Order: sequence, then structure tokens, then C-alpha cells
Amino acid sequence: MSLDLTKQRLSSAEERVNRFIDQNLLLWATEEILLPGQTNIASSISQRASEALSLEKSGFMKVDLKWDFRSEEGAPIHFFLEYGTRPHRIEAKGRDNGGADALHWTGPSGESRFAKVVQHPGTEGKNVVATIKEERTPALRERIIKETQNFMEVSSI
Amino acid sequence: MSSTGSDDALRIPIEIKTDDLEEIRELINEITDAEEGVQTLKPRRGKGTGDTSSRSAFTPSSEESGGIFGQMGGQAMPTKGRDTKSKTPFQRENEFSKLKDQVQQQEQKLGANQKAMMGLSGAAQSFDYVSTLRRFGGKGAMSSTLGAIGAIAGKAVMPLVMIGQITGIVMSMLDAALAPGGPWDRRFRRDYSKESLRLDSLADKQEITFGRRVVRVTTIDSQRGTSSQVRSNLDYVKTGVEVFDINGTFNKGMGVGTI
Repeated sequence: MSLDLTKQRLSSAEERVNRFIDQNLLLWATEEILLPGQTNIASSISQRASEALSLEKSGFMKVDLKWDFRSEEGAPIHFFLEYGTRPHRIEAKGRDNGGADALHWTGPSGESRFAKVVQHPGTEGKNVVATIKEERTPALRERIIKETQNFMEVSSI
Repeated sequence: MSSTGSDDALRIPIEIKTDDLEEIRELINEITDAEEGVQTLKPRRGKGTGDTSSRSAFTPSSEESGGIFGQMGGQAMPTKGRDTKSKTPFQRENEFSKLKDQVQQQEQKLGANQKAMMGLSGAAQSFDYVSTLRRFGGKGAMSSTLGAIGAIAGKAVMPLVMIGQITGIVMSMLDAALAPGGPWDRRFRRDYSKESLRLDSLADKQEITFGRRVVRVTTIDSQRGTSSQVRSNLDYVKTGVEVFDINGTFNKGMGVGTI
């Protein structure tokens, strides 16, 4: 403990501040970005999609907002939702492959539609995680400033 | 927008830089300034000047150690600019001795001026006497005598004044010439080349060995004669011991108290 204090005193103010931020960044990002982001995704997409959102420490004063939302088959739905999809062809798997012989979806007027193969026009990216980062980063900045000021006041006392 | 990582999960990096946070930047600057201020206020060991501007109790002043004159109790030998090769003993200066020398110089100057002033005041007094004597002139026999003396004295006043002034100037010049460092400084009259023992001259050694030349050794300043505190080569000569050994060096037993 005394060794830590000695080291802390010897280091410069900037180093001390940076170390303090780095040590607490994951916690603050969880509270300011991850939890609100998960609430957004749960309400806009699904509970399972929100649970796929997480935070990972990736370096000094760095965290990654990670979204790993996959279908049962392992398809990376997070990419499709985030960046959108190009026009693509969708074909029914067939009963022999463990799927259905026809595709089914609901049309704009509410009627059921069936087809064996469709040409999907593609989807636009929703920028789910990017939006969460954009919206919540100012709150994280405020939190960092507040916590750092408190820390320096306490340590100076 | 970018994704990072080896797996195919979506990763959005969030990086914090204190340079981008203006408030944090200001806070760091304030802390750094405060710490630097504290460092300058702290008393330091060894080299370092500390805070030279403030009047705090921690501030090391110019008279860091020693007495009202400052630096009297400093290091016994100076650490900077010292000629370590020279064998000449180092004469340490301190503020007290400087001040003492200044006072003595001022006293000498004042003494010379005082003498000159005494000459002038004597002249002025003479003028007074002369004028007094002249007032008695023309009132009886006694008065006429005094008047005659006054007339003679009146003629002698100016030469006396000049003599007084010249004497003062000469005295002050003599004082300046005889003062330490002056052209006639009496301290440098001694010719040490004649006083030192020439160990390379056999003739000089012979004179010392035979007792024709006396070398006295004492630890007491200005000690003369042959008291118990003084030893000389004559003590050796009396006992028949050679003053110089075969190597030609002066006998090591010449020191006080060893005979």
C-alpha cells in the first residue's frame, strides 16, 4: 500500500489522472453506455439482441462496445442490423434440409404470402451500436470529469 | 464507423483522451502548478535554491548560514573555482572581514581628512587671534605691543595654513602608500628568497652544520631568542649530531620538542 502511494506521488499529475480514469473506465462505461444501450435495443429489437451487447477493455483508456447477436444458425445478425444488407436472394431450405418447403411472410395489407424463392431488396443499416455510442458518450465524458475532479479533491486532502 | 477484433462480432471502440477533455486538461494543469508550487516551498537538502521570491519560513535566504554578516559559517573551503593544484594555503574571505576592512579604510580616509580640516581650523583660529590683537592696537603701550604682534601674526597666517594643508595631504598620501596593497606596503619588504634554506647549496649546508648560520624553528609567531619553545640547528651542533644526513636532507628531528 505504501509502495503504491509512493509510486503515485512520484508520478506526474497527468499520469495519475489517466491511471485513475483507466482503472474505472469499464465501470463508468457500463453505467453510462452499456445499460442504457441494452434498454434501447431491448425496446427496439429484442431482449436477446440486448443481451448480446457488452463492453470489453481493449487497451489503456480504451473500451470496445461489442455486439455479438447471432441467429440460431450462427449468422451475424448484428452486422445486418448495424450496416444493412445488399439485395439478396432467399430460398426455402426444404424439408429435406430440416426447413420448410416455402417461405412465409406478411404483406403490407396484412395478408399471408408464400414463395419458394424471393429476391430481397436489402435493408438499410440501423447503426444501433454507433447510435448508442454517439448518444451516450457525452454522458460518459461528464461522468469522467466529475469522478476525476472528486478523486483529485479527495486525494489532495 | 468501424469494427475491430479478430472475431466477427461488432466492436465499436470508445477511447478516452484527456487532451480532448478540456476540464480534465485544466484540472491537470492546476494540479501540476500546485505541485510545482509545493515543491518550491519545500525545504530542500543539498543543492537547490527553493523559493527565492516568497518570504515564507522555508525560503532559504542569501545569508543561509552563519551570523548577522551572512555566510560566515559556510563551508570551510569554497567548492567553486578553487585551485586544487596550488599548494598555497587558501585564504577564506567572509563578510565580516570584508566589512572590517571597509571600516578601516574609511577610518584612514577620515583621519587624513581630519588632519587637513585641523589645519584649516587652526588657520581660522589664527585669523581670529590676529583680528583680536589688531583691535587692541592704538590704546596705550600694552595695546601697541599687542597690535605689533598681531601685525606679524597676520603675515604668518597664510603660510601656516598652506603648511597645514600640505602636511595633511602628504600624510594621507603616505597612509595610502603604506596601506596593505599600496606601493610601500611594509608587509612585502621581506625577501623570502634570502630567508629560505637552499638545500642544493653545499656551502649553505656547511654553514648551518658548523653553526655559522642559525636556523631556528618554532611554532610560535614572532618568537625570537633561544627560549624553550625555540629549537635551532645549534642544538645539534652542540651535541655533535650532523644536521644533514647522507641524503642531503635537513634533519627530520629539528621539530620543536623532539630534541
